[in-house]
Amino acid sequence: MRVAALIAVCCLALTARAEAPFVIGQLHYDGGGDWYSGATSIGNWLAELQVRVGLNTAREARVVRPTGRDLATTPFVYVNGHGNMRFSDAEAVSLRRYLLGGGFMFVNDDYGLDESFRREMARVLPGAPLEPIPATHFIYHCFYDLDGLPKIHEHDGEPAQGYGIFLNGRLALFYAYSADIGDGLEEADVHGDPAEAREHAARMATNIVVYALTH
Amino acid sequence: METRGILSAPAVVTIVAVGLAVVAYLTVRSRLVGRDFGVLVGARVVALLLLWFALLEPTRVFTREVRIPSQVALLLDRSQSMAIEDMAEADGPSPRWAAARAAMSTMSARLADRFQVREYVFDAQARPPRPDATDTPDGHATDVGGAIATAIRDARGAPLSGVVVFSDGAQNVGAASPPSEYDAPVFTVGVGQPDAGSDLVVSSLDIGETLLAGETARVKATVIVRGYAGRQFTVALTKGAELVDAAQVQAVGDEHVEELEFDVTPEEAGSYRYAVEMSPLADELTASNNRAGRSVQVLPSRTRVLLAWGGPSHEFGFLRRALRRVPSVDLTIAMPAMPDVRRDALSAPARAGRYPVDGAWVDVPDDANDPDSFDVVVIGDLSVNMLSPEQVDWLEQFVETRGGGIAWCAGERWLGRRLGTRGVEALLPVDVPAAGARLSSGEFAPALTRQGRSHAVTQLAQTQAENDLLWRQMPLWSRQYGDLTAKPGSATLVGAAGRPGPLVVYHRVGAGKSLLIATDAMWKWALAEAAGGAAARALLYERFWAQTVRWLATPPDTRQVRIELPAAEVDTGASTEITVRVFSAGYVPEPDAVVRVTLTAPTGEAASVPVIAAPGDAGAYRAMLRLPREGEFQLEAEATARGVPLGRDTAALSVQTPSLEYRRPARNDALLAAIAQASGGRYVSVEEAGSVVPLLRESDLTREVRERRALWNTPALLIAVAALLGSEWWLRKRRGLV
Repeated sequence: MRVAALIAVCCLALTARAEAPFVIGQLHYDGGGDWYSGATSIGNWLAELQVRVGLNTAREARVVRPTGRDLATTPFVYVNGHGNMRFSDAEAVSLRRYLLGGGFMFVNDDYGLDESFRREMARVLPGAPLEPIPATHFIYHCFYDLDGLPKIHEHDGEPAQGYGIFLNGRLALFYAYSADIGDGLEEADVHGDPAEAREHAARMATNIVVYALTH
Repeated sequence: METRGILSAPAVVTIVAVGLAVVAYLTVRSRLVGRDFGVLVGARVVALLLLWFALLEPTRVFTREVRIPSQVALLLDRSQSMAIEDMAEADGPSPRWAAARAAMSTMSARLADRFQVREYVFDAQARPPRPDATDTPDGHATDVGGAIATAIRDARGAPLSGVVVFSDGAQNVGAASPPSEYDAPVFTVGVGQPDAGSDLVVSSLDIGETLLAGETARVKATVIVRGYAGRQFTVALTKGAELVDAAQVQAVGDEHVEELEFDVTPEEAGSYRYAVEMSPLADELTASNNRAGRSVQVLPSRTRVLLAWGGPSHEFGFLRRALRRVPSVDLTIAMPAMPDVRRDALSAPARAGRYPVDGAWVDVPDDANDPDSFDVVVIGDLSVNMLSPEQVDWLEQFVETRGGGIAWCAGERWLGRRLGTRGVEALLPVDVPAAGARLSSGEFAPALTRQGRSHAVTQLAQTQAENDLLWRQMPLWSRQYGDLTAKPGSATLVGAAGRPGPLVVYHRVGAGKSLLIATDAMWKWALAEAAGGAAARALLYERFWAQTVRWLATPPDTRQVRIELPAAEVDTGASTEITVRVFSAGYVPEPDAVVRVTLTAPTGEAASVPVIAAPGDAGAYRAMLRLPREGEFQLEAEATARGVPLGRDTAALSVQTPSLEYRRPARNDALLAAIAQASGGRYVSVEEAGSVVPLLRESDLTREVRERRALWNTPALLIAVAALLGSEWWLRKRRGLV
């Protein structure tokens, strides 16, 4: 899988003539959480998107700050980490505008992010609750036909559950709780996950991007 | 010290001369005593050495510190709110503009001896005042922050002691709040009254771009009642001269704001003008803001749009969402089968076929005998290889025979590659290079062309002035597909500033229309506006597409004479240029037509308008209209060629006083004070403007200047040479050597 992905990346890199049309933004938040965690996951994710979907993607993530200029040119943002996240008032306003204006955010609970994430999102989008996403939702079926959010890592023994925030009828934020899709996208030797679990993570990550690009 | 080269020609000549002088004296040495010989030789040699010294042009080089001249920028607000007459004078109220201009003129004179004074006038943009002092307060919008930024930018790093802004602070475009940091202290001089007095304002009217005949739509309007606490007013919704509905507003408090809702159900398709208005009162500040109107297109039915795209992309996602929000559009999606890529590394089942999405998904039709399935087709990043020959035939029939409209959105899958010979190239309004269009990196500003300024697709505002402003302030675009050449007969509506090639271009194909958008990152427009906090501007992307679809769905205009208006509405007193396009019976632009244009005022008075042929635009004739009063004006154009009548066209033009400048006409002390405070300046009233002058400090900044002083070009040197040679001559004469 990795060799094929590498070949695809090289081919696309050689033919690239301008800024790639798809890039994943990695949100650099404050509060102490390791927003940068999962060093190899985004690169692998982008490579898989090239192979599986045929997307012309960048080769690495674009780090974006909640109030940075790059946020407005990065419609897909990935949020990951352990521990605490904190947004300033200005950052909360900026993220609210971003999500309302068409931006999409995928939040992966790498373990321990849940409490601060829920607290901060209540500030970013007050009145827009996190809702459970049922297994019938199209985000689980838009490219791969999945049974729901796959469970990649054990955290506290809880089942994996997808949540979302809908704005004007659009799923603007998808939150993977107790699943750890991000770890499943890392190199095999990082966490020692079995190939099947990593494939499930790649499929879910693919579905999330395809859904965000088509809805 | 600097000198010329020691071996320069004068130096060599001098050395030779000194040598000859010494040799000459040696020949007469026997006739001189030893002391006289030494004096004579010494005097001549010293004189020659001094001349040599002069010929070397010795120059002393030194540096000294000089103070850099300080600049002061004076900014005068020329927006329409500055015409309000609320400045108390002995002989009655006078306009804010007059008071502000007089104060600025006085200050400029007082500062001229200490500073380089740069003057500007500004509305939505800043520029130097006209040299003949003919500026008037007629700007349609105010951007104080933008004007300050322009003045600071123009200083180009030179010390700027301050920026003085003469304004009422009625900011209505640009950033709503002042920047947190300035590069120079800003002194704001407030003009007008902080309490603008009693006023009735219709501040907004939200009715949408289109309505559907027979369907009820909700109209929202916001009214503000200032200074009439306890009184009741009637707010009327009208369609032309017809009263559609009315509501009562009971004013509570000194400033009462109320949002009203009306339901309208237009019965017939057509173009109508809806307005919300409150009857003017004799004692209110201005009646110019008592009315807000919008021109609305009532469509006979929904527009059936097929959105066919090559695969998932941001451009597709944003466009799909925008079209789904247009009430008059029935949207169907077509996306071809998933790409031939690996979908399952393991044996788990994977989806096959097209992308399953919640909504109506179909294939691009392939039955050329049934081209009536849709009104508009939008094709984006769809490789020609993704279409079967039957589907290409259907597209040709759809556009050329059925008269459908098709929009092509650029993408790497098709415009970036070789098109091949599948037939679609004949439908495109551009010629594509054989190897595909080159994708340019970097950002660029979209720029309306002359045709774009008056085209239905690119009209994002009700008036041309507002529309021009919106396009100038648009976020930068990127990813342009270059190397495209517009085909003869096509019309480019939008180009890229500083770059060749069209961005939005269309042409007629048979009975239909074909429009191409040469970028695949138009979604940045929508997201950048939203992320920037401009909620209303974030809707412009959606409006652009709603208008594009509506225009494509409308059958091509086959009239031989057509009036093109830059906007359906014009500001009172503004000049506007109209274009009359004339075509021959074969629908070829007619360059030799005689065109007559008649303008009929709301009073019924008709007048002929001079018309000239547009240079470089065959078949186009232009006329400049000046519209001094509010109301509905009627235009009529007739054309003949070689004595043969070609036809006539009529159009309506609504003239109104824009409400943007009159929504909040009171002096905005809070904004002006905030700007001054944030920059380290001070806010004063126009009566106290003189107090700003001593607060402007000259800069202490200095710079080193390298100077030269010639040491050889001095009278002392000449006198010394003359004295030496004169003494030498006198001594020789005494010794009998002369």
